[in-house]
Amino acid sequence: MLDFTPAGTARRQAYGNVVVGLAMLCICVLASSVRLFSVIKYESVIHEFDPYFNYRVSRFLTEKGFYETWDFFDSFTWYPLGRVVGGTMYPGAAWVGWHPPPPPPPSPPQVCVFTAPLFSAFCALSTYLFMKEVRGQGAGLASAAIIAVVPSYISRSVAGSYDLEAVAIFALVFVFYLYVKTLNTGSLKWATALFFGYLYMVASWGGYSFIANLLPIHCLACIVFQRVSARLYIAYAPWVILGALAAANIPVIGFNAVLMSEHMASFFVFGLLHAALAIQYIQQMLPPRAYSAAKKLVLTFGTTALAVVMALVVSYVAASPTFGWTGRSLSLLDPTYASKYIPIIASVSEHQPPSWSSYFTDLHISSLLAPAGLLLCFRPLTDASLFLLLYGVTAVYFSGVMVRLMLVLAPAACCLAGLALSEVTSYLATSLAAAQLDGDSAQKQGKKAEDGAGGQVADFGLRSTADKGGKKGAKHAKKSASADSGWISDTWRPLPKDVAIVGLILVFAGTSLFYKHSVYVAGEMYSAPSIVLQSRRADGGIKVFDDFREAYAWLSYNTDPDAKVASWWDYGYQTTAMANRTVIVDNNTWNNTHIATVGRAMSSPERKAWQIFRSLDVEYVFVVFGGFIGYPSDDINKFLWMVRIGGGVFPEIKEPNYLGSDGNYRVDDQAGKALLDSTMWKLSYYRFADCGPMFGAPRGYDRVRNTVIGKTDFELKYFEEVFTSEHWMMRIYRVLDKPNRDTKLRNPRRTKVTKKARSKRRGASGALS
Amino acid sequence: MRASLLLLLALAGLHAVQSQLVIEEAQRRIDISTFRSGHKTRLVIRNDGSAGEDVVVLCQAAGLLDKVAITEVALSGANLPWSAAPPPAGVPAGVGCRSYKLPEALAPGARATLEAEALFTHVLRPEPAKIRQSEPQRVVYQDSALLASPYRVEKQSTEVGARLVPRLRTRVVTGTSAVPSFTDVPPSKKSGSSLQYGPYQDTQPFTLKPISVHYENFAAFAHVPELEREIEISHWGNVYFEERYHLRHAGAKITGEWSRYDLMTRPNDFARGAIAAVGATLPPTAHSLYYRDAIGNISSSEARFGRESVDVKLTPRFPLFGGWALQFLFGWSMPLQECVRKLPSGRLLFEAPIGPSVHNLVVDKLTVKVVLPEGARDVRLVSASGLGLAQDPAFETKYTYLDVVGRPVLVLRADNVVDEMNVPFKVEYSYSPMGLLQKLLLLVAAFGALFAAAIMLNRSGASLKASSSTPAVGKLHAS
Repeated sequence: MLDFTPAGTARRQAYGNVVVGLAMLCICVLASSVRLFSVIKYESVIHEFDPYFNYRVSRFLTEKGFYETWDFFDSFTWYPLGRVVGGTMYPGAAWVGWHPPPPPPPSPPQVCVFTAPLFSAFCALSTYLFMKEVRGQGAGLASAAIIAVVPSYISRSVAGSYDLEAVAIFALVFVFYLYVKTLNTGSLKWATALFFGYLYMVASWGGYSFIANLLPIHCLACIVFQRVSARLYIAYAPWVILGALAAANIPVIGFNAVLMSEHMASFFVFGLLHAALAIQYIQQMLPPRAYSAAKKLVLTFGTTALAVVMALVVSYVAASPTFGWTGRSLSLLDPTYASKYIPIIASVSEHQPPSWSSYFTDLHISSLLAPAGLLLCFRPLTDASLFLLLYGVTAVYFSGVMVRLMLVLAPAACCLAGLALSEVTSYLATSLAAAQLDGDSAQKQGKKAEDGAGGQVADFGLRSTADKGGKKGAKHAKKSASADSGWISDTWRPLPKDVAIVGLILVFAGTSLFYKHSVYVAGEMYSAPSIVLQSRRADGGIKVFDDFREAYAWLSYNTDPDAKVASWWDYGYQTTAMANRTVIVDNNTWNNTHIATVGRAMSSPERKAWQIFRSLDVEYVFVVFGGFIGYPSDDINKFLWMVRIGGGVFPEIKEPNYLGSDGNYRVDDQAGKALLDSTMWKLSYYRFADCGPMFGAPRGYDRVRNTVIGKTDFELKYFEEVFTSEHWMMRIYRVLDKPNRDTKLRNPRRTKVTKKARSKRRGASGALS
Repeated sequence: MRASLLLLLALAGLHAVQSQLVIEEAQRRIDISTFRSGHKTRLVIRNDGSAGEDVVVLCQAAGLLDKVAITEVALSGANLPWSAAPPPAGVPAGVGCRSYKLPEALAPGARATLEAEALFTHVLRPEPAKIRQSEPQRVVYQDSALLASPYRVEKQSTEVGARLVPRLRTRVVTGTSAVPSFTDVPPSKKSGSSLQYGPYQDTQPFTLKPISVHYENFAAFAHVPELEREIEISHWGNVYFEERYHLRHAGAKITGEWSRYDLMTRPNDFARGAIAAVGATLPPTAHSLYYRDAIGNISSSEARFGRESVDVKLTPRFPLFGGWALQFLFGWSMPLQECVRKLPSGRLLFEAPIGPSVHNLVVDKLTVKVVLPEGARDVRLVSASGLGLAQDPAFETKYTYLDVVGRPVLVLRADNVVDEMNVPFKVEYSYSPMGLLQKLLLLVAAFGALFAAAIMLNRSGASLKASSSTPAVGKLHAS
């Protein structure tokens, strides 16, 4: 029925390629532009915490060059230890941020802000290529269209989110593409490309160990399912050796590439693959009887040898307290590990297990379609679709361990969903086309039936493309692909026309909802840069809370360039990047004891804290305080983690002392005594009590905790307020050289509150609440 | 050469002393209510000699002339040209003089009335140098009660205080009761918001009576140690202005505890003299304004687009208290035709104010860079006089996007700049409109080369599998 002459096929393919190209262009533009909400709604600024570190490394890279960056020793952080940044970072993202030196004074380079949207477009492209290798152009286009806007990926790649993940997800998918391409072609050219792709992936993100384990799993599965081929060998074997060399060349990994258990699987499977190939070869060479004899011999000796080797490996691994795994990896294999042993990892919110609702928020329709995609991987099961299958299954497991790894699941879910979407649409559309063809041929029964049919199909494809926008170009491409790959076969039965139409409408509605949801999420949920906050005023205008930068700018221009600034570690990267001052701890949580020291200082009484800060040469301490405007992620709410991390190293800090009498963490008059005496309390609430009446609340009312705080009037003896931002979100204190002799004399303007009056007020506030 | 110069100088000094000019009456009014001090002097001079005098030497005591931003001496409304004149030997230290050339010689016995105005910067010294947030800022002003003059002064009086010089914009009035101490040179008295010195009769040349006024000054001491203005002319239709400010509060340094609570509840007691905002005025056609610093946009600013001008209120990230500093960028764009016009000769004339757009600043070092389009030739600064340039214009080359030979940059430098010096400057240059096409052609050529290379690579069939693919192609052709 269809025009299968070479000319017709070539013409259809040419049209198809043009449509696919246009569709991919639209998808790439969409992927980038949906991430620009943050720039439009806020401004072109670097977001959150970690991106500030990458930005700083990029700035160093720009000023000093690539070689210097390998030796970058950062004396501005972890005072007095410093940090060997060159040897402890993944430089992949920072490389991208290399930019021509900005004019003085330095401005945030736009290249860093727009890296993430750009790489999202690259990611959509590589997803297309990957799925094209796995199943065909249709699946590729559908997957690319989904990953372009999948909220999970958007959350880490909006403009300004200059994070490792922003470039690493692209690298991840691209490595998968190169692997599958090598697997399909068996070409050494692609194996070489795979090496370079993997090199960049390793340089970009610690998540490379996921690839380092997924590829062996796939190879193992191929061996088990007897799919071993020369193509598999060319894809896998060079990768193991060259990949390990590549990893070893990145200083942060170094010899871990051969020493840590994360990398063991690839070597183990490397051996197995050789054994399997050898067995295949010997089986060909020997007559059956000799083969079975040899098999017996080899099995006996082999098992013994293997047992010895395994015993050696196991004893080596067992000698390590973490069984040779890094802490982060171990917390993946044993989800309870971090909360038991590493409070720092557990304290980060993105290391918590996700809730079910977040699967739907972050993946939306792809979480529904992905299981169908998993099934479709089996029809037919190829090496490539087996790989996608394994990727999907493992990613689902890892995403269940911590929220952050939803990001690894996102491409898998998108590819599986894209596969399902493409097959469904293709089935429905081909049914419709077939119904149309039947009608046409019945009407005409003419001599031009063949030509007309071909034209009809092409027309239909184009029309559907025009109807549903670039993304749906998938169907046209898929149709031509499916026509070639034999959907129209003896066993294929088209659906009735009406059912097909209803089905197509449903698919269209589903994807439309997905797009609507994604755009909403990108605009409302994930575009906030977190250093600038906005709220709607009553008159509809926007009120901007720019306190963080206000305080960082104050530090940067009004303190000595050598001054040491202490704060909780969350703000370390921002302080070094924006205030340009030396910090004690930062978000690279490499030294638990150091962080515990700061946690101990914050949880100790003033005098003890003063001693600790003085011993660290700290001149300024700042706290983040939300009680004035109701900003919930402030230091008082994070305080229990400081206590836990501090108490993990210094046993004199005991968490129960900081809890109220009922065992809950509270800041009202039932609060734990140690909390009321802690430096964190004093630095947060110093002179805050009188602000209550400013917003029509009782004296001492905290707008985050929604309660009157337990201790309002106190003086500081060892610290001195030097700056508080406009909305009190950041409060900076100077660590005094020597304690104030008599704090009572220092503020004569303060009215004394007698005990009687205080209890009276408490009663009044109690009545109010 | 040097000897003759010395001789000339000595002669000039000699002239001053031997001149027969007499100042009949000198009235000085000194405004010290802001960060700057403004002097307005009215002098009636008389020639008692027998020959005509065409040079008048005017002096300032207490080292003031080292800190002068602008001086003007006018005779019936016309400004007089001046040259530096060293004071004669033996006069007290710190006296500096300038000699002014009268348009025509003052005949013997004739009188002339000179109106002199001067603005000095950095003459108010905070005392104490460090204060607490609640304490008032006090500064010391030092001068002489008597006019430093090479001539005999028959009658003179000096008034020191606030709002005495109407031309100056003053923001804060000094409280009258807040003069803790001043040097008494009878007859002198305090009246209202000012101090009256004199009248003094018949003082001899260079008789000085040093005075020191210690008083409360709550003006915003907005001091800009460095300011770089970059003006980039693009013949695609825009002129981009960018000003890079280093702003600091030059008043008494804040020490001890600083409290936001006090600032919020009692700003009149705890934020007096703090710089809460600065104002700028732009031409009405200005657009695309931005205000940011090294860490991003500064969201607290307001712009009112009026018929006459664009008024901008720039609020710093934090209010500047004594000793605090800040840096920021302020930029805007103007349509090309507003700033550049074509001369009959075919050359182009660019015109813009030389000074900063932000008011009430004292700028120590101002650098103005005019970046002309690539290919602009024969760049020339028109009428350099009156700009108060510290040195002759220099030239640099700047490279930005797609530049081949770089853009010519005219660099102007001026020291100690105040608002009153903000006059337009003009730059003349030649530029061919064909230069606009240069970058376009460059891009076309680059992309063309890229595509050509890609085509060639594709056609050349550089492939390792050439041996296996060639027969296949042959077969296809054969069939």
